[in-house]
Amino acid sequence: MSHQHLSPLREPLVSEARTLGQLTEEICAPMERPPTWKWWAAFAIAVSILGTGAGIVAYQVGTGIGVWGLNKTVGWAFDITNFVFWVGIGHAGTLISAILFLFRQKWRTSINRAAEAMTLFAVMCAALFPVIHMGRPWLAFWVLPYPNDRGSLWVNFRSPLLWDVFAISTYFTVSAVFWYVGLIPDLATVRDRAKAGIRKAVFKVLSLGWTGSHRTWSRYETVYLLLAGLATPLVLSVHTIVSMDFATSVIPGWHTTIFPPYFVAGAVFSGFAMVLTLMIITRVVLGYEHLITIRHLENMTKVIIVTGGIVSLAYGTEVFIAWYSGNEYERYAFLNRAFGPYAWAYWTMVTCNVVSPHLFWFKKIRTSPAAIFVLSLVINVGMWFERFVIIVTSLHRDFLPSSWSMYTPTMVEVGTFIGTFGLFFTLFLLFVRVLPIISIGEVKSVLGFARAEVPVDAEPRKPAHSAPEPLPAVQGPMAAPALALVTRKDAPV
Amino acid sequence: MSDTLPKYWQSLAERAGDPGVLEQARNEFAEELPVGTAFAPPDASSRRDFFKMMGLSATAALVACNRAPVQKVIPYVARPDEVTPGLALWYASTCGGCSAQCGLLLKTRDGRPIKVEGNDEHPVSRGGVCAVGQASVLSLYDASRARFPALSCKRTTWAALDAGVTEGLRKASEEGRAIRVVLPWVMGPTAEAAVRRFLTAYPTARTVRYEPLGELAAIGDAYRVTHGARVVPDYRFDQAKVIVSFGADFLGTWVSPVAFTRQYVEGRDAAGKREMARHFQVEPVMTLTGAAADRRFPVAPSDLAPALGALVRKLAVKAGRTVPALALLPPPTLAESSIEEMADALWAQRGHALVVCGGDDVASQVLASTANALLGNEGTTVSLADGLALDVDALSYGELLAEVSAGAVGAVLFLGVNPAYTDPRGAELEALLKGVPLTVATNDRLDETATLARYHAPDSTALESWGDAEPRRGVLSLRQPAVAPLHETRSVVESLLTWAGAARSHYDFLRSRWEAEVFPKAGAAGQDFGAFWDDAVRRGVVTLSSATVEAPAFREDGLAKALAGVAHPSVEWELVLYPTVAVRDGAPANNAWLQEVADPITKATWGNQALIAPARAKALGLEDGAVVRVAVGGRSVSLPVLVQAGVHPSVIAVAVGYGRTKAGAVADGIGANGYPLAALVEGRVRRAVPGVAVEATGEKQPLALTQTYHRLEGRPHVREAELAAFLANPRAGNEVEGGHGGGNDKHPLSIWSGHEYKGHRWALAVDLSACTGCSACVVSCQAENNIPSVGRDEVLRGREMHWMRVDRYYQGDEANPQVVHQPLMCQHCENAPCETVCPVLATVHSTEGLNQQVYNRCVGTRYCANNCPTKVRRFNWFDYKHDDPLERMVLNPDVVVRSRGVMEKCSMCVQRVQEAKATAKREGRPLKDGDAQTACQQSCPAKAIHFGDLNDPASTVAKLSKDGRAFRLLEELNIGSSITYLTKIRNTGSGSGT
Repeated sequence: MSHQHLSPLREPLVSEARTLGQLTEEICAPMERPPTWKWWAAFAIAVSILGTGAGIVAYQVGTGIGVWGLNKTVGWAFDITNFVFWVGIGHAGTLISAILFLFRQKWRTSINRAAEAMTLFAVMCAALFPVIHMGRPWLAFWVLPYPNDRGSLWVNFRSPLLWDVFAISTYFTVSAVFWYVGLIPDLATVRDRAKAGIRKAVFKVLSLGWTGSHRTWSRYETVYLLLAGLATPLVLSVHTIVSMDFATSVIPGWHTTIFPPYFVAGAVFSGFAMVLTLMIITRVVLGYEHLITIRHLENMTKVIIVTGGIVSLAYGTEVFIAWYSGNEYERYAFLNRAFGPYAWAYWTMVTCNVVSPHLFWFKKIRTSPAAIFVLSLVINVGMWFERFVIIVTSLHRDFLPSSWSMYTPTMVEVGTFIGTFGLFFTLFLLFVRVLPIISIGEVKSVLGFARAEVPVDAEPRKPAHSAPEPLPAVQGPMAAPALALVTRKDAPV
Repeated sequence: MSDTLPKYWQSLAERAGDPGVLEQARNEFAEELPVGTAFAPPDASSRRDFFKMMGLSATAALVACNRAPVQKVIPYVARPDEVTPGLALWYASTCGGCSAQCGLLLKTRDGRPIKVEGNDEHPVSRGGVCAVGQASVLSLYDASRARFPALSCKRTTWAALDAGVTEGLRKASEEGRAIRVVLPWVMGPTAEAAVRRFLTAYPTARTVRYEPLGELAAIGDAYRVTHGARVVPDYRFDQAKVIVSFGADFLGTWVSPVAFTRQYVEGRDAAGKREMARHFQVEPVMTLTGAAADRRFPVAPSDLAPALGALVRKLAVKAGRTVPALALLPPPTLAESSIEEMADALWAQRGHALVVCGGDDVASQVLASTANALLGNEGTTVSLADGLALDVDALSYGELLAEVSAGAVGAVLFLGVNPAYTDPRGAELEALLKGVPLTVATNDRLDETATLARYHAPDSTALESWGDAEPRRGVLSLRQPAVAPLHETRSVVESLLTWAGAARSHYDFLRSRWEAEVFPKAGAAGQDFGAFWDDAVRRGVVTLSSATVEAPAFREDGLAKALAGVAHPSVEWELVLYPTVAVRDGAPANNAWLQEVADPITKATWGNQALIAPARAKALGLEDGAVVRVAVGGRSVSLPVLVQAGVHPSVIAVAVGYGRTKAGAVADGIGANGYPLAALVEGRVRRAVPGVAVEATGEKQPLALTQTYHRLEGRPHVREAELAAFLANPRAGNEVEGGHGGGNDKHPLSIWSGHEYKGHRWALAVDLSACTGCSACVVSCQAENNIPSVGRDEVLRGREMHWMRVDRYYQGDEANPQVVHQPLMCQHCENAPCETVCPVLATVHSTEGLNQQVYNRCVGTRYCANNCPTKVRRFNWFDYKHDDPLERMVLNPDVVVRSRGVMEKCSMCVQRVQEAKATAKREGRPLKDGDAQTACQQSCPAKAIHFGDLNDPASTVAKLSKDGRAFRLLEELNIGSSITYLTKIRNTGSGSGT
């Protein structure tokens, strides 16, 4: 936000010329128009899936965990797999907004808002599972250390599940605050564009009296920077702690010191894949190709190559250590993963997570949204299977062969998992309708990025920091560039 | 400052400075309070008195506030004698589960029997109880039992029934038509007396002895041939130094498994005696006994008699006798060397050897009897004198059917037998009985046979009735009811006496018979009968010191005839119908505990299977669960295949006792009935059937197994040693050292500070050498701890709730593997992995070393179960309801019933420990070793489980935990298990062990 990069040698971050007003117009457009039938259709599907999922969860809570396929040996399977999967997805948002912000990665501006929203929604989906996987979910509040009248009963601070409670709730809270603080200038923009009425009133409250003064901006940026600093360690801590659910146990295949970095890398890996999946759809549907450019996608694939590499290294290290440790249980656990009854899951995971990211070394694939879209889905499938492999194959054959068993999911488990996608997309579709999905203020700051032809007089004005934009009609059109699909009243979302 | 304030005055006197008024103003109370005056002289009144009075009045007010009770309490005036709510009462009794008749202690709470335990003072069963005995308490509350007498399956009154039956019997008797009483071989002396009384009342009446498996009949008939006495001898496995068993599952189901198990284990106490009997088992199907054997030879059932014959021939040669009849026998398929090995071993220990034979084949039993005679075992390991004399006048069931077909029978009484289900000709019974004017059944429910009878006069269960038993000559065991009959049922003894016109209560009949016949022999001189009787009832058993009886001698003359029929057909498939440890002949099948306890060998629950050998399965391309049709003589059953190691390749084995149709809600339709496939050879039913056809149907049926992986993957969870190696080195086979701890209690590398146990520290020791895997402990645990039965579907999903299980592992060749059983319960780890991971502290360590599960606090994350390295934790996946008003009476009030969504597991019977502690405290003495016993320990027929205080150096557990054979599971994880296992010792004679 702070400084412009005007070198023509750099590639512009916003690929088409836009005035500040046009940007505002483009980004605010989806919010200010009635939804189209396509949105309604997508929303109807998402809500139906959510409703079905909610019904399935209600059935499960009403009947008992027995409607899942778990047994005396495998006590966790789909539930915790989905939990870790969603928490992992929830990693990219804060990573993009906080860590990339601290590293001054300007390209993040077009995607951070949506990525953060994705984080929040994913964490909501994730948080569902630890609650409903309990035998008595109505007593879930017992995991909170609150003063109570049950004598000396207190929570067990030695339990990684308790650490999870703190890690996830902290992460969610800080991510939500960070997201909201980042939204304030844009909420003010929306407020200012709104005509009097409920909408205006709501956004007036939400924008917390934003004036757009230099002092406001200055304080805002300080707060944002501090929050970014606060959120950064959480990105690492949350999945570190999730990994400790497994790493601190005694079960071969779980009891592994490599888990914290391995899980964090895996989470970033899957999170970026999910951001890609969503962004590729969004940029096409909303016509934001010039804001979320191929360059953004490319950068994200590069992160995927790196984190995919870390994940692959972790897989290799695990196998090596299993052999090198000489521990027969550990050895068996890894042999069983690769060649046991769940070998198909293991090799699915290896194919998706180890092999497929390397396709991104090819520029052609890296710059093809279609190819990236497919690969991002493949990676998410792979990362889901990674958690499944870790949880189920470690549990189903542990120490005493007499208790070894197999696990098969039931329709209730599959339905619950699909239901969380309903929740996720319902929230995301609502988000697309009610909030600016691209940070207007931040994108404006990179509008002139790497653009030699930007008028010299525009520079000292720091347009992004100025008072609310004048209405585009007042400003007058530039050299009539084709506006995004969304700005045109005739062309629907 | 006070100067500036205005001065207020209250009265003119004050203003004027009247000294009296000023004096008054200094007093706290302006006027004297008059309280003291009422109680004390006016001058004694003081401030102190005032407070006294105030206290008194306040108390009086409070007392007055306490309203008189308005609730109408109902005092427990009509309290039954001896019953104290909350305290258990124990009654010594005798088991009615099978013909073994073990001694029991019945635990009752508030008048309800809730637990069956073994009577330690019983000289035959010696404190053990099998799974069937344990489960009999659930059968008492079986909702499918008959609740009233019935005429044509419709409710009637006892008076009407008695009138009808008596009239029918009188008529039959007058017409000179036969009256037949079909009953089991073993009823107990008093019941036999009642039967005799009945037979005297009706001259045309005779007994027909019926036994579903024909084992006692075969033994009795064989001894009739070889010794001229129809007797089942008293076998003494503890006296035997070499045991050779031809198909006799004497540890599981044969004759008296509980007693035999204890004897067997004592004879093989390598640690105590420094020697152990060698056990050879020759059998077609892997049985519990075969699993315990040192040397096991799988044979086809048709090879049993020839192989036994070959063994007897060798023994005869060694004994220098010629037994010409043996030459008639066909040559065996079993290797000559194996027979030689057994013959040598037996001959070396002649006089202290034992040859037993199972099954229903008289010829084989004759050979076994001959072998024992040749070896001179009679009087030591085989006692005819102490044996069980069988009814010599009884007709066989085949003879009865012939009579009935001929129309000569006027009345048939079925006393608790169910031939319609257990006999291969069962299907014909309905048509045959139509020609009999009077049919009566006393079965406990309207089962397959009782529904065919006109009158149903339901017998009370053994827990509701009086009775006695004589499991060994001179050992008289009394049965007393632990509860009045729950329904309108009547003891069969009373029924018989009523119908004989000599109606008496069972109690009177029993007591008078004991007074007349038992008391004089009891040697209780100087005692009056009342005291003797009371003592006998209290103790449950009386040992008569009668003079030794001359046992009949062995004679060869009948051998040739008896052995003439032995054939050795060469066929593709031979069917073996065998009883399982749990449901036996099928009589107790309608019992969820017995259906759900895993078979010790197959680990299958809820149903029977067709067991075939691995090699045969491979050749035919059959896998576990593939449904095959087993057909013979136009009858067939379809059952899923279970590939069972140790089965002879030509054998297809089917457990009997399943496929009930009228047993009740639990058993009906579970499995398939194998009895109709049995063969009829010369009028005798044979459960080994050569020449059956087996064809795959192409269907699949999943097997409800509790253990689906049978190899140990080379892991040291069970350890064993060969006897010779063990004698040389007590740590033989146990040299596998743990990781951090090195197998001792010090954990130098632990980051945990460890627990401090100031008082007790409870622990278990399990002797793998003694454990036979019979699973009585599993049922005992289930009964004690209110563990729900979950049913076949849930077992299929791997969710059985048993707090303890018996793991079974194989070693070696799949055609004939060695087997190890390992009872596994919560290990109560010192550094319990479950305790650290529970987020809500629902599983915690007690100050006495127990790992405790707090059900109320559990939210059900299942993290503890995942992190349990031994996977002994059980989760309530659903609400397992105990809402049948009858069946829930079996619940133990000392153990909470768990709701859904909580974890549970072995508590080391903490309720028993607490009770024992409370008792000791009340009696003002320290707790002794053995005061507290866990349920599994108490009922173990082998006494393989020991419970006690590790902090008491004199306790058995403390000693065993330091034994050379001691090892703990997963020591390398430093979990610090409280359960000590002792290595299994084998006596295969093959040199060093593993």
